[in-house]
Amino acid sequence: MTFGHIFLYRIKELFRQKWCVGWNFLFPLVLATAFFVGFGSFIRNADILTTVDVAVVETQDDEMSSSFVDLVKKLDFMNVSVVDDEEAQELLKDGDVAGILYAPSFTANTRQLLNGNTLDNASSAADTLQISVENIGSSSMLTEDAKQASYWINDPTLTVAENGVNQTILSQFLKSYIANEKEMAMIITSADDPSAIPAAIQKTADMMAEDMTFGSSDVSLRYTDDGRGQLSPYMHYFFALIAMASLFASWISTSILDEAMANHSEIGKRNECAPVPRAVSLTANILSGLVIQVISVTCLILYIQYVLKLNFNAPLGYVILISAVCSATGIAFGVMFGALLGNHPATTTAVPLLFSMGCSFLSGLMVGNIQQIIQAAAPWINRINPAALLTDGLDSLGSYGIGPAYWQDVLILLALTAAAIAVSSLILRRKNYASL
Amino acid sequence: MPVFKAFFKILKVKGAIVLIYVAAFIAFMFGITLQSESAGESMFQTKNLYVAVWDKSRSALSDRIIQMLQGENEVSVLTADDLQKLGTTEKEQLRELNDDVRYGVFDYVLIFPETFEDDDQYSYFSTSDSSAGYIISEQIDTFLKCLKINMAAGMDGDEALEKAAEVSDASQNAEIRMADFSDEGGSTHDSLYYLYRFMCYSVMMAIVIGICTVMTGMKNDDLVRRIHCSALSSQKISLARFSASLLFAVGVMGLFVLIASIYCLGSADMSKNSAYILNLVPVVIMSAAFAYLLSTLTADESIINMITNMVSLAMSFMCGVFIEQNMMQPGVLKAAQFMPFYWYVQGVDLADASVSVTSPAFLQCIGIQLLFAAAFAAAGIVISRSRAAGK
Repeated sequence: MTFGHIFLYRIKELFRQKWCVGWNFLFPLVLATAFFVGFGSFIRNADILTTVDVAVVETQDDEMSSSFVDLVKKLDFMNVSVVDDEEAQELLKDGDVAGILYAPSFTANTRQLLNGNTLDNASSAADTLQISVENIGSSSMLTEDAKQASYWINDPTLTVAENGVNQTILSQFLKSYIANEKEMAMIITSADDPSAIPAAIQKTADMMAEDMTFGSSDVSLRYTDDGRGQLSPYMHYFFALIAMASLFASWISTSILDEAMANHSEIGKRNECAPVPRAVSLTANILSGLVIQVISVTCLILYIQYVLKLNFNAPLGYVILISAVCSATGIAFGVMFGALLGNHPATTTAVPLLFSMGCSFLSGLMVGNIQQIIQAAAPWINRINPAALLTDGLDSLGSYGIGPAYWQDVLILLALTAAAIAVSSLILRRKNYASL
Repeated sequence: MPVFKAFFKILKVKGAIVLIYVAAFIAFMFGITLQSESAGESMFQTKNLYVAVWDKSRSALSDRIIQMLQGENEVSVLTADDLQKLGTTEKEQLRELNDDVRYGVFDYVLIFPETFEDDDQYSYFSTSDSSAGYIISEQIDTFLKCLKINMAAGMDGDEALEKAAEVSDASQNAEIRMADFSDEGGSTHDSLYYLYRFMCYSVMMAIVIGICTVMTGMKNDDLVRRIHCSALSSQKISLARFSASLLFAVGVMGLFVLIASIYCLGSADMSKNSAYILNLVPVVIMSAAFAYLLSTLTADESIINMITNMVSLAMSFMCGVFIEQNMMQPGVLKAAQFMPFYWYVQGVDLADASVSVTSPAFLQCIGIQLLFAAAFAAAGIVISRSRAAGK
């Protein structure tokens, strides 16, 4: 009866406190909305291949340039603008393109060898090379210079305005193209019989035109058991937010302890004088705080799933379960801080705030990949950080389904909760009104 | 003067709590910055990708490919010990590697199966936007294609491998130029840049919570009555409070700037420090004004902490403090222009690009931030006066 009375009235009281409603209900929702506004599109478009904007400048009017332009246009990850040099420089300066590709062209040597021959039967740069080589005649005309690719072709070049991933993609494309050119030159120059060169050029060109890929992206682990898509790494920010919201329960428990101890407040004195055993009173208060916290975290989870329409990729029951356990950990730690620090002014505000913010920071609230970095450098930190345990549990739940990793995180959180309660009990059990 | 002094007397009493907050936010700032540092960008450098290699084949071909990748990337060849740390079963190890890629520890995980030398087939994990997937896979596929062409041309295995390696090395000399459109120097994005970029969040939190902690102490009924019994007008009292808050804010700013400067001495371009500091001043004034406004609205520390966290964290995410502005949606950036942190980050970017502090763009950033500060201060004064009149 007494337990139920305290439990119910504490819930009523907590709901009427502005700071409780604000911190535990409003703040997480506002932050979730800010996250969604800031990078919700990254989560929705996670599987869309990002395209690179590039300007292409044709350096000369020949098949080499035009076939290069055609090749670049066919690439689905490049968004190509074929412009003149001046316009390309403007686009680069304004940041509208990641770089400018200057198309390759035939050298004067090659054009001379063509001797004005028509190129009606040359449908590609390879054909042009072939005709040029045929015009060379015997192998004695293949000088040392002519064995270099630069004898035949002016290489394509790239101009960028900054370093970055897109610029690196363009540089890799350029290097692959030049590698093909060098390969062609090497094939030409390594042929023992000059009369076989044209055939070698054609065969090489055919092989280069083939779509050869040797690697496959191993996606077998990336899907949950029922084949749902991979969880976006940006969802980790929302997991860290849920962890922070769960650990805000420490505010509730420090204020509960504040009102339960005679040396903390006037209400504490009255509570200590009451005939209710402290264990009953504290337990009822803590459980009421836990109920409030679980309701607030559930509201946050439902808001993320149904209002922001961001999928956890997992049954919501399991998401709420681990969040509730983490809330219990937050409550237990708050009681422990209150018991350890006593009546210090930092207890009610600074310590719970820094505890929840600090744990959340280390679980990736501000820097998304910090948890993985800590995992590589000092994994024991992730094993004792309640926020990291929650985010790891949600992550493994969403990526790999319900499994040992999830339950391990739940169990460690329960162990941390039990440890914090045990420490608090040891400190508080001997304290009575006379000794405070 | 008595009110001004009272502020610092209360600060002395509550100094421990204020110091805890300041130290914690300095730690946060460094924690975030250390993840974001990068080298200077005056010449083109390919973005170093972090590649993990699990080589089950241990063949000459896989060795040669690893050598090729090491030329431009940070390559970690996983040893048996490394794999043991990841997990006890292959499935656990692969999952850990997959998580490492998803959270940016590695950009690409390359797996050579035992049969790689026979069938040339490999598998990989890469980032979801496939940029690293393209870059690394293209390097490997180009190498393997050259190898196949060489073998089709009649070369034996070793010669074909050697020639393919020569072609790959030769292609690294591709001509890539860096255009420079800035006034001088160019953006460096060094450690100093990142420290100042994240500093606005830490400085605002430290200043607002510090000032409000003292202001709640000054709202003690007895103290308020003693102050109002004095001959000071309410304007002078407000001015004294605001001046004290500003002095505290400048002191906190000085501490942050000193620590940042000491950390970056020798490793960053310190000539830009004065521009960064000039850009930070409006944030400090704005934070002091915001703290003044909050303290007139409520004396409850919990509510003050909540509002401060809400405002500063939300602004930091939406205005490009934690996530680069060029990665954000145009609509979000448009909305962010109504927040002071957006203009602060713009100012940091301009300072990093060595744009002159007297340029219109830089002055615009500072001016808009000062407008926000004026708005907060005016609101605080109006509310304070109306409450005093009501009493």
